[in-house]
Amino acid sequence: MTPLSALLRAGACCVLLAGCPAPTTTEVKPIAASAGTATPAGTEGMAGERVEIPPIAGAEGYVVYPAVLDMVDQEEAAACIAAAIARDAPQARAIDPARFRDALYPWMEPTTKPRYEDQMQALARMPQIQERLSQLELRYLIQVDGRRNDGTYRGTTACTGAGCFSAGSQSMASSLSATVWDLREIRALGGIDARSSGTGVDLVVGIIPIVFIPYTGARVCTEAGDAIGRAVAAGTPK
Amino acid sequence: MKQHVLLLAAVVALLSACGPVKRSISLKVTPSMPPAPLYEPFPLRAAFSCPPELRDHRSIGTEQSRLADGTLELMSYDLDFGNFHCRLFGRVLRSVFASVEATEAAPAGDIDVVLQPAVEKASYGGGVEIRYALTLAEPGGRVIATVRGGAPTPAYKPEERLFDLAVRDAVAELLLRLEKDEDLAAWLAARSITWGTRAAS
Repeated sequence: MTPLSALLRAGACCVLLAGCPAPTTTEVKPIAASAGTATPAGTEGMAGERVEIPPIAGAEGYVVYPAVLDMVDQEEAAACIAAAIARDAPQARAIDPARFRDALYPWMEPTTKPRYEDQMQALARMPQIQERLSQLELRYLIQVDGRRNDGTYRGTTACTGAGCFSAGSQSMASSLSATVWDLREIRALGGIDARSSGTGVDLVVGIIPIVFIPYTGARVCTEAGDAIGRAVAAGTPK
Repeated sequence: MKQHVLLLAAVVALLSACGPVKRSISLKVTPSMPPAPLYEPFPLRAAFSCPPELRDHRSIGTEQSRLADGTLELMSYDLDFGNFHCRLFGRVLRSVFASVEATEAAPAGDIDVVLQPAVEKASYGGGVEIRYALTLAEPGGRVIATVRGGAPTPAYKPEERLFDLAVRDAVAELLLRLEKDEDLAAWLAARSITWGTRAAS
């Protein structure tokens, strides 16, 4: 095969691949609510499962708070859920997470925030916390945990007289879970756990790079955001 | 012989390239004050005297860490906090005890406890790490309890806020540990002093 024909074949391969989106799979699962929850209002997930999040009375105030603080991925995930709620239920009343964190200092910091359900319940039962939540006019805490995992890159490069050809792939995965807490009733109402994975592909022919990135982060954001947004819209009068 | 010298020089050059990257930094650090704690104050009259070493606090040392690209970094740091820690504890402790008397000398009058803060670590390199300790003692000097708080604030957090976050988190942990401290609880119980609603550990 001449260098030119090799290059042409590689180019044709790129053109063919460009017509195909990078493959992704997304899975959405409900997170069980605490015992004795109100009747759930389901939403349909990607995998066709019922996602059990009851209507959220957004007019009574909510805050979207990252599960792990001061990390870019986590703050982006929380911002994504907050944007979905603002879009689906603009009449709901959002509390700025920084204001919430300051108002509850030192209880919601990276090393001190509750990690388990019983810890959250114990915290929410404290009179000074209830008083402060009342001052903030805040009823719901939507705790968001977003993570991205870029797998190992595998690739190869070959050069011919006509130039160089390089191809590689990288697996990517994102997950986003959101748990809704009713801080007045002091119980978890339920939540959603969305996961998405895919493989990114890059090709370089000569100096022309062609890159396919699976938008796993955007997928989980859309799925979880839609579910939470619908729950807030369902419980918030227009 | 000349070849051996060249070979040795090449080996030394290669080995030095494999060692940690050395950096040094000198900073005047004035972190933001954390918010006033939401805390049920202990019903105790406290005296607080900021130790001389914290009135003009400087932390000098080296910290080795691995960077995101795998490089080993040896950071020499010189952190000048001035009197920040004195201002910090002076402010925070007012929300933690019923009354706090700032004193330069030995506490006078009706005092239940004497508060002695300390900075156990303040380092820079691969992030920031600040660790505080707070000792509560009786006016006669008997130690009631010592609590500690602090954790590394990794470099992947927002760089311009690393010291703010480290101080904020260290104080938060210190306060919660104080709230749960068994020695202090026993001391209070022995004096029939009732206090607080405790969060689950």
